[in-house]
Amino acid sequence: MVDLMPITINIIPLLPALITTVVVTLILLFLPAAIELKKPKDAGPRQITTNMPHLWPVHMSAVELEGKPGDYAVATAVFLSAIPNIEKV
Amino acid sequence: MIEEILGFCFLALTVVMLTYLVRHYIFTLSVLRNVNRTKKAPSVQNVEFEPSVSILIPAHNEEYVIGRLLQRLTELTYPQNKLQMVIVDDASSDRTGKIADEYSKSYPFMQVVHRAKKLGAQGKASAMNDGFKLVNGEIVLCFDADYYPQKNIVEKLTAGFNNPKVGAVQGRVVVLNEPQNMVTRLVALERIGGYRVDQEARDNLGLIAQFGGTVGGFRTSLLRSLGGWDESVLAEDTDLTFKVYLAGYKIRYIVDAECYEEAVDNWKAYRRQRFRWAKGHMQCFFKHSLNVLKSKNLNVKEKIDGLLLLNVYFMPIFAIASLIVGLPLIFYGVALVNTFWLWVPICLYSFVGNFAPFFEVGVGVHLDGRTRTQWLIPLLIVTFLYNFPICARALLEVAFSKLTGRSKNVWLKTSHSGNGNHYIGS
Amino acid sequence: MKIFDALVAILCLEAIVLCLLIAAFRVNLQSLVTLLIFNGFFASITFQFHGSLVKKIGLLTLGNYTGLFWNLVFNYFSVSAVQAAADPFQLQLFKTCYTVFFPFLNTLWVISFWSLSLTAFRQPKTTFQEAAS
Repeated sequence: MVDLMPITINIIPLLPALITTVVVTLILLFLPAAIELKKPKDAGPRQITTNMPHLWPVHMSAVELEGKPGDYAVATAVFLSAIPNIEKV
Repeated sequence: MIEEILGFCFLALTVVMLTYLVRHYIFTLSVLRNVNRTKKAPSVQNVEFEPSVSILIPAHNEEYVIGRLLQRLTELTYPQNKLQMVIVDDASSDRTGKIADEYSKSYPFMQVVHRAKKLGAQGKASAMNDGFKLVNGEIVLCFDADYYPQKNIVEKLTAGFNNPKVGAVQGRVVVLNEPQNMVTRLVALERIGGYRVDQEARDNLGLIAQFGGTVGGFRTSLLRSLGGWDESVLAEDTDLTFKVYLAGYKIRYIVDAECYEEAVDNWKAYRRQRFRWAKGHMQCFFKHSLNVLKSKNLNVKEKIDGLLLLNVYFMPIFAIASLIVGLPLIFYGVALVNTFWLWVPICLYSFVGNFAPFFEVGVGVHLDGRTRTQWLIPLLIVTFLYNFPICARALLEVAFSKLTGRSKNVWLKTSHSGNGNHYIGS
Repeated sequence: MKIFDALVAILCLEAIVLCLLIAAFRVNLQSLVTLLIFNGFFASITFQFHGSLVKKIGLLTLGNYTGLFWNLVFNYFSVSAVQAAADPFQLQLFKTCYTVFFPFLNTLWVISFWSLSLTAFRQPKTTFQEAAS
């Protein structure tokens, strides 16, 4: 059984803050995935032959974050990216 | 008594999952260690070894993609007088047969086999066997209709046969329509992990390199002696992999022999494809496990890796089983499970698991020189969870067929829309 | 610069040790194990990439504190749920579920952090160039 911290104070009033922290952290962890899906900069395809149109610029630099975390579009992308796409064939 | 049985099951499942973790960890380290060394790749400079090559292309309703492949095959740098191409139009109801006929009229080394509707559409293995009857090359290579190879891929693949112990070769698959949507991007990630790291590591370590059904080939004489493709299994490529090794030959994986594929682009197609792979793999497990254990042509590490390869699609089920078994043990505070150190392997497996060994995918992406693609790796959790019911259903069907003796394989073909075409310039 | 790099590396290592001690004595033993596993994977795999040692140790330190923060939050969360539990059966059920899902919860930060950290490393071109045929 996982040990729980020995805390004597009442944590229950802090519950909303804890839930918010967890949600925000999860969003932050998956935000880069959402950003890359929405504004891809390394979407490939990896070049193995010539005569390919250069569709996506490949960024080889260090981490670059674009888009603000508070953007509605970005938040929507995070949510949508987490669920399978149930497209009709 | 029940506690002890459950505890034993829990421990056994943990050991199995830990074995896979260690295996994939070793694979990753092996590839990283060899990345800066000059790998002993088969040399393509040996122009004295230029066997006659037959290329088999099965096609069922592939009108959107087959033209692109056939055009590419006319551009191959391998001497055309040593090439033969057999296109199997497997009872297509679209223009696949007509497109193939047009090419065969212009290029004498291309032959088309039209299968009648009554005999056709029974699956890829059946189509390949029909086409194989016409093969006369020393080496037979296979390409699916939605693939697009490098121009010198034949040289790269046939170079592997320089070694007389090599019975088959496998090249690397790269997803062409990767930018299309989330599904194609995740499939591309899976491919990178599988081909850039997993397959290469198995080749490096002298384990069981797998023939993937396409972008690869065999010695024609060996394939004839093995009886061609087994039409009773859905994963005929895995079946042939083990037949080759059991016959005393090896398979070489050639990482720089690359070919594009058009990956599935929606979850329904993904589910069908993975179901076919899972069920086919499980069928191969029942067919080959004992043979692998008893074989005198395989050494110990090949036997271990072979068994692990055959069991790989059972892993999501093992994970569920360990949860189901573990829950009552934890709830009732069984001492075996409560012992702290037992949680170590659970922790180890749980966050690397069958979803891949996420570190395999990450290292593969890194070695390909890509960066922002790494950001998508957490989304592989989605595909892992999606594979749970797929593998469970596959197991149920295989178990049902084993118990009842009724075995019916329904080949659900992957449709190709040609969405990858616009990534290839004119 | 080398002396500076060495000093930074030592500082980061001390921070990691501090993080592990906090995890062991202020959170729980399972968190410590998770962090040790993360350190093991990160060091054995990522340290083989091309890049400065300072960058690698810096990311490793950041990862450790991310994991510590994550486990701390979930521990507070679980304690509050335990305090809110109405009867022993509910309490035991919650503890069981938390124990089972504990590794999966850690999966989320480990995979996310590790994959993001890889974008800081660039693979130099190897002998196998992309074959533009």
